[in-house]
Amino acid sequence: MLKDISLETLNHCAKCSTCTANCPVAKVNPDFPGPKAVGPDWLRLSLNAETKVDYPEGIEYCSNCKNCEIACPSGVPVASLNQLTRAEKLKKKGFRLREKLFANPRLLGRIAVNFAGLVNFFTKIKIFRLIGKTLFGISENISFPAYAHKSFSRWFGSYRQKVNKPKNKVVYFPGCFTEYNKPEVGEALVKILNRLNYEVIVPEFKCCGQPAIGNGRLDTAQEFAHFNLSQLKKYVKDGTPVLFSCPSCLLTFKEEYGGLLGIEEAREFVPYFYEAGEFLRGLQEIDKLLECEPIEGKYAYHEPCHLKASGVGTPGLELLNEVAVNKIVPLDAGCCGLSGSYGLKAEKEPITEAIGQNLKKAIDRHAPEALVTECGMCGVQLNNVSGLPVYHPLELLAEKITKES
Amino acid sequence: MYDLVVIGAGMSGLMAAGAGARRQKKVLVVAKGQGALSLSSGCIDFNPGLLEREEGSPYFKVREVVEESFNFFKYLVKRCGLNYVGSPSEQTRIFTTLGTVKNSCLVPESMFLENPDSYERIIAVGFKGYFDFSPKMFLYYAKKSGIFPGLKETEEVYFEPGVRTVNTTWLAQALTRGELKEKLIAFLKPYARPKTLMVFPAVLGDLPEDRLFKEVEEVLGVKVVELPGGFPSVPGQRLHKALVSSLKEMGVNFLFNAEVIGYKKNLRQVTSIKIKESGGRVREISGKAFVLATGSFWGKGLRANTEEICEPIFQSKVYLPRNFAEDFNFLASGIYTDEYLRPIKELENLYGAGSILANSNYLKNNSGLGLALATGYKAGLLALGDGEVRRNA
Amino acid sequence: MKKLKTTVLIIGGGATGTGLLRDLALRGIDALLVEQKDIAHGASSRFHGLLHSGARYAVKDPNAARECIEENLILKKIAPTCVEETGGYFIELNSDDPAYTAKWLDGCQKAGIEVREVDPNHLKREYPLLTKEVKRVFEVPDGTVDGFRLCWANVWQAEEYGGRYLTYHQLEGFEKQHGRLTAAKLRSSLTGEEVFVEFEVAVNAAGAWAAEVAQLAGVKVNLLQNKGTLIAFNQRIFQKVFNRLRPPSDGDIWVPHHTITILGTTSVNVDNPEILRPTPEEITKLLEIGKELIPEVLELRMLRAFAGIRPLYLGEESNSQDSRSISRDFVIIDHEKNDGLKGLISLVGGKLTTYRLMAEKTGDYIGKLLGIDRKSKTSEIPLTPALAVEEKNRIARRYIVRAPKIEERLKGVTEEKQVLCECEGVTVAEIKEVARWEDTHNLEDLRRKTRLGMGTCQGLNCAHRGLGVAFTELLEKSQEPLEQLKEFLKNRYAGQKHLLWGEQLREAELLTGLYGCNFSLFGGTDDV
Repeated sequence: MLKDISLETLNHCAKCSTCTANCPVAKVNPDFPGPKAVGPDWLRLSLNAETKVDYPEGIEYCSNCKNCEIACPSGVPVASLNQLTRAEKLKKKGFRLREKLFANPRLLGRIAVNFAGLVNFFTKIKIFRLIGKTLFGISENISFPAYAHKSFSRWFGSYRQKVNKPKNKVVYFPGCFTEYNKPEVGEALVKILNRLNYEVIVPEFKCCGQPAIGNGRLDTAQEFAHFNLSQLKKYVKDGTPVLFSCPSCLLTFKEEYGGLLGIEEAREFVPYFYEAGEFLRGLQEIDKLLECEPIEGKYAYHEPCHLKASGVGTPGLELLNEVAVNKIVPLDAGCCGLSGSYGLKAEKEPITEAIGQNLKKAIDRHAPEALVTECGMCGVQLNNVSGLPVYHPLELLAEKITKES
Repeated sequence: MYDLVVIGAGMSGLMAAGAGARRQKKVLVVAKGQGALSLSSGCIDFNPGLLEREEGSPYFKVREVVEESFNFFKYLVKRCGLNYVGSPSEQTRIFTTLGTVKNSCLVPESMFLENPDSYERIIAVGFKGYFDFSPKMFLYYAKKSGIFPGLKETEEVYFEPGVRTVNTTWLAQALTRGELKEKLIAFLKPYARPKTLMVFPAVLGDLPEDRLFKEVEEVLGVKVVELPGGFPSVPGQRLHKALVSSLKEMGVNFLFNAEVIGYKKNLRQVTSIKIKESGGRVREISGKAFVLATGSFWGKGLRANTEEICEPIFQSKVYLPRNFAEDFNFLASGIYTDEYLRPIKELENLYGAGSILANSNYLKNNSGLGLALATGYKAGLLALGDGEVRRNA
Repeated sequence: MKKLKTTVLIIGGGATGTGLLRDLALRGIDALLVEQKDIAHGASSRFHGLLHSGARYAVKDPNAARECIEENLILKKIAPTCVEETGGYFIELNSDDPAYTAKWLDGCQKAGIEVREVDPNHLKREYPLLTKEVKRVFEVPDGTVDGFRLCWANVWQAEEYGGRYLTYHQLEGFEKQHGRLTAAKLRSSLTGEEVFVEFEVAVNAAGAWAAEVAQLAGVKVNLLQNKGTLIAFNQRIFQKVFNRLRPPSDGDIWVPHHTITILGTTSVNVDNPEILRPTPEEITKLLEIGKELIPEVLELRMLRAFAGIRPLYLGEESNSQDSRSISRDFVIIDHEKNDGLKGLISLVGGKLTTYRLMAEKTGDYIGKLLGIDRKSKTSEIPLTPALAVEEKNRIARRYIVRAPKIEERLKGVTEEKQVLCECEGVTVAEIKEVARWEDTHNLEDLRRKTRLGMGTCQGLNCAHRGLGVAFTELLEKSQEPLEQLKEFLKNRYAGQKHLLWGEQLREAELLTGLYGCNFSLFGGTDDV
């Protein structure tokens, strides 16, 4: 796999620096020389014994936000190359407990969701955060995502779906954030889909693997990927669409499984993967539902980097604009800076904070009442910098179109 | 179903989308990667003299919308706080970091050099550890240019940003945030005297709305000029960001990281394009009209292998200049279009714009972004069936 | 006019001339080398960079094979930073003649070249790009050699021993007295200054220009100018030299050279050593043959195509035009014996691998002429320190005796550590220091010494930076710095323009866009 990504890089990179110009981390952190330097430059020099450097300096600062890859005019898999190199470097250095923990949000999530009140309380207490910083290198200031009191699967297990025959079916991958932190997103999607006469299937899943990739644990990510794909196999064989409400999960399934993680068969699944909003927008029946009571208020929209990277556009925003009284304002402030568990690490905190300033500026300029974004962790950061409530487009839509008339 | 689907998010694509947004149409821009726009100097090079070219040249085809398109462009970027100065009928002279003189029509306000003969001193401001700008070299050529007849003295000064390595995008960002800005202004204060011109590499703020140059001017009472330089090009990034942000605000939809690989047609109309997303998923997007603004070789609008050069999406006919390799003639390659910028007779709702057009040799004609701007705007109008434009054309 | 005196005047600053300068200097014989352009600007850098093990000549020319392996081992010992001990493979494809392989193995054994058969499957696994047609693979002690570095190493060491050199000096004519050459007239191409050099013996080591030098002396050297075209690929595709196991022919050598790989070469006779242009036919041919080893060769990014001239000696009467059959051996011509002209020796033919031996033999001959009986020390005194490539000492390996000043600059916290040429990893310190050297005159000289601009971007990011960083020095030395930049870019484009398709064409457009548009360096049309 490394061979392919290397060759693609070497054959296509023109050294134009567009990747570095678009890297949110390089902009705020002078110790990160940018995706080009740690990626294509390093790779080419490392093949020559005289110029070889074992691992590029600063590569740990890459947040896998994918902006380099999105901006690249030459189709170079910059982000993937850098994930591979970074993972190797981290592995060689030895993983900290922090990386192991963050790599699998389900470990913590499963416990935390049962003691949500307690956990949420403790993560706000200064002294515990200080201990977290000293012992584990976890940031003491960035807000942790709050845990829900009831996981999505517990809600889903007891929810009776209302669908008429003949019914359609979709599979839904809720992802860890919906599962443990914001089950409302999943609930909203299930209710909307039911209105459109779709029955929702949620098989048992593991984490998508993006946090594992971000923490350099590619083996773990691979293990999750294989499990998740095996759970999907029978549905995909029947042509059942698979829906994602989390952009990072979507991107991981669509892009990383077959690309970075090198699972060849994952490519065959890709045609069945949909971003939830994208799927809804594609249904003719949705038009009727959109003739509902309009969404009022002034909202601003943040486009998550991983949504942008997955190449589906902004269907959630387009749907909302069909129903909204005021056009939803696109913030267009780039990466939020949190990048999943990246910003939760002590040494990354200043980076996350500095990148977040762009968001803050944009929010201040437009002064919305609330914010909308698809990504849970982006939502955490949006709330951090603005104090405003943050919604997934599905939540806003569901509130209107599933209202019993 | 979109009213207008634009392929490519460079200057011409964005202007086409802008033309649509201005008329409240439902517009989608599909793009894979950032092309030449964000690598450009940020200046809108244009050669007014070429408008009198013979029929068939891309200049001739847009001559009646040039003024309007340039004004609309100014409006678009200004929405994001980025001001441009100049007009398509006259070129203005600016300097680059190399000390070369560049003729361009519209330039960012921060680069505009008015009345060069009024300056007696030039302070060239470099940054310690930043090697993309040599104040020494700039001053040598600025003096030699004869553009500053009143010049009495020059000085090169170096500000220390205080970090180990200085890269362009970091510097541009850091100078506008926090204490570094104050430090810079304090550092420059002793050099502030009347009739002084301070020149900087174009790193005074990374966002379109950053107006650090104005702030320095106001605080120090000197004239400040930014110089475009190598890659990454901050003014190119600002320009790209300003256009995209404005269009988003105007309701244009964007689909990034997706490559257009083909199309479908019905009779003489393109009905949809086929796109390939990340992970290789292929799907169709339908629209009423389409603008092909995929750029030249760099933008991958044209593809060359050892056998041939083609336009890969619609297989439009490509013009190949003679002596392809000599004198950078290859830059003149491009697709043929009719008087309405349509590349293919059989596809009535497809329009071409920008550097993909034949004979848009931006080097020889010194009109890269300017021609892209005008052709993009016109293609957008034509694609929306704007009758007035057609009559005029 | 400047007047100089020397015992031996060496004309030509390629491997032959610089090798002889070192040889004579180490013997304590006073010598001055003059070169029309920069050191190693001709065939000594315009070749594939292969340090022959001799295996390539094992069947056709056993003598050359033996010489090669001996010199190969000596160079690895004395100049470890100029050569890289990559090893090489000879690859027999299914379509190749197995009988030749047998002959070849026999030849290698006779010449004393160590050969080890390697499992072809191992090779296919390691290099997935390789054709599936690989049948048998043999490893030999081939290596690679950096022509620029080797020539400069010779010059710099000679300098320590009293040898002198003048670059950018064009030979304009000789003084003759009583049937003996006594002096040469030169002119600096940078300042126009005339230089008059008196000597006892002149050595014509002008390579492809040897016939012209001879003509200035009024004698004839019968040379065949044989052009070899090569293609440089962007990356190190292989870690060893890859040779085809078949009678030596066009396009059958792939040499990993620093960060790049060179595919060579063709063999075409030309009339003029200045004709260094590859033709489309040659490139097509090279790539066609390259395809046999790497079927997807066209997918690989290429940087440039370039050509060098092999000056092949035809002897006095030979009319043969089949260049591959003419010996690539070197010849020492004493023009006293051939033409009755005293004081001139011509050194022609030969190959880079055996440059030291050639210098040794010539040194012996000159010693005899001058009545100085001293032994050559070139195989004993190390040319460069013994620094292994693994030790991560790029600076010391590259700049050899001149490295300490650069290392000094790089000590501690300094902005000069910053990488200026991102493709080749060249730091600001290197550019600043090398620009100060007396033998660096312009941006092109800087490039040859540092590799600035020789990577993927071909000067896109580093040429303008380099010019800025070295501005003061470059301004003092020669023509206008911006003119130097134009010249630099023109030369880069001269290599790119033969490969204008795919990614190379995109790169060329990018380069034109930056320098032509953003910088308006070439001057666009003015307001009409």
